[in-house]
Amino acid sequence: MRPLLVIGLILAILFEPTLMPRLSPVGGRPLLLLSVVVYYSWMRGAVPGTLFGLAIGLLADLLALNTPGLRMFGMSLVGAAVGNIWGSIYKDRTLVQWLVLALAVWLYETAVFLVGSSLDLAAYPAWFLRQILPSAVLTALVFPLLIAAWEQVTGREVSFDAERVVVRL
Amino acid sequence: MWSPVELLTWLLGLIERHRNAAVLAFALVLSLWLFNAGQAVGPPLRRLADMALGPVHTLTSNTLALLNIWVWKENSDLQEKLLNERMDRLALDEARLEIARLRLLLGFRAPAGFRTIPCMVVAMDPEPFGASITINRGTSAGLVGDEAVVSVDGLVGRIVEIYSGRARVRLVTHYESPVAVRLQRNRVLGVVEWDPITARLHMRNVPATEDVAEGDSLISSGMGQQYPEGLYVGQVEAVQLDPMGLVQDIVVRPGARFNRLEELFVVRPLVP
Repeated sequence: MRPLLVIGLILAILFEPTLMPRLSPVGGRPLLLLSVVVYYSWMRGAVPGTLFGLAIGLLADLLALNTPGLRMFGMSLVGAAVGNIWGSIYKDRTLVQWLVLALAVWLYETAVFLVGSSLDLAAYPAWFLRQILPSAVLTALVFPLLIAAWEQVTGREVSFDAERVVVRL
Repeated sequence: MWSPVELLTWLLGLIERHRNAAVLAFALVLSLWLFNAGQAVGPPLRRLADMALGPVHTLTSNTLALLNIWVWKENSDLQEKLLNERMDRLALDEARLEIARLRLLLGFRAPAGFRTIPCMVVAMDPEPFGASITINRGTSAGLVGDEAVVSVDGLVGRIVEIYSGRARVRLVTHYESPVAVRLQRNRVLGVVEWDPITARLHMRNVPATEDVAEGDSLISSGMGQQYPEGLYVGQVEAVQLDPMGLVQDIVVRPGARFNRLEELFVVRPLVP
């Protein structure tokens, strides 16, 4: 893994439980660790993505009081799903990144909901509006905006369309 | 009939042909196994995670608190609130002295009261299926591990895991965190529980004959030994009868603002 992704992971570990819960007045919250799983899987493919999702999911479970396994389940699924599309789309477009991050949040939160609620489908629409939609919007905004800000400040272009993050002068 | 070696060879070939699916299946099965066995393996794993990341989160949270630009406005509001509280306190002191005299006359034993230990939130997990926070006080501050935690606005939760310098608090907005309560106005008893699907606190199974009104205050009853008696929990937001008309489903608005938790207090009952 290259330094930019490591920096992203460290930021996610530092700020997901400390700063991010305070930035979610409408419900939901930015899922930084999930974003890192998405970017990693996107660059490395399905198998590394699934295993990375499993490891980061375990970390996320340990940072919470919930039973371990719930986040591992969701993030492994996201790692596999995003890893499977890694060669088929152009990853550097911000719009594509927003869309994939939002879909990843939808998949993750839906998996967590279905396992956590023992398949209570009747409650899913309310859950979608209250939890999934705000989380998807907030998550889709945070990392692409951070990357865009970094590009503006340093004058360098960050590219994900490779097996590693490429920084072009 | 296949021999074990043939079966193993076939299985390895199958995994090799469907590597992505095999890895995903392994990850999902492991996750679900942990989900089932979590009550046993969760606490020791979390203790390890706290040792590794707890100090880092404490440092990050303290730094963010220093940068909090809203703290100045909050400080001004608190000054005003403090002045009002002092004036109320004078009136309450008078009433307390009168009650003490009357208790003495009637031979009643006075409740012992509480001691509060201030603490700060260093990490939050607002997961709707099980909200929890980490505070910066632990066994080194004299805590034992099952104390209630409150904010100035009301009951927040209860310590469920404790380490040397930190403790994990399960919020009342956790689906496994029921609170035994009573209505302050007419002493009706009940249990308040978080419903993760509706994202509301509910006081359920109160008989339809009981008088419950919107705006009634709820305090902890001390029943069940989970929380001490007399802590403010919230107030009644809505009351409706169940379809059979036998019991009431009461929606409770919590006093504590769970998306703005920062400075909290651990409550330790004093021994009379």
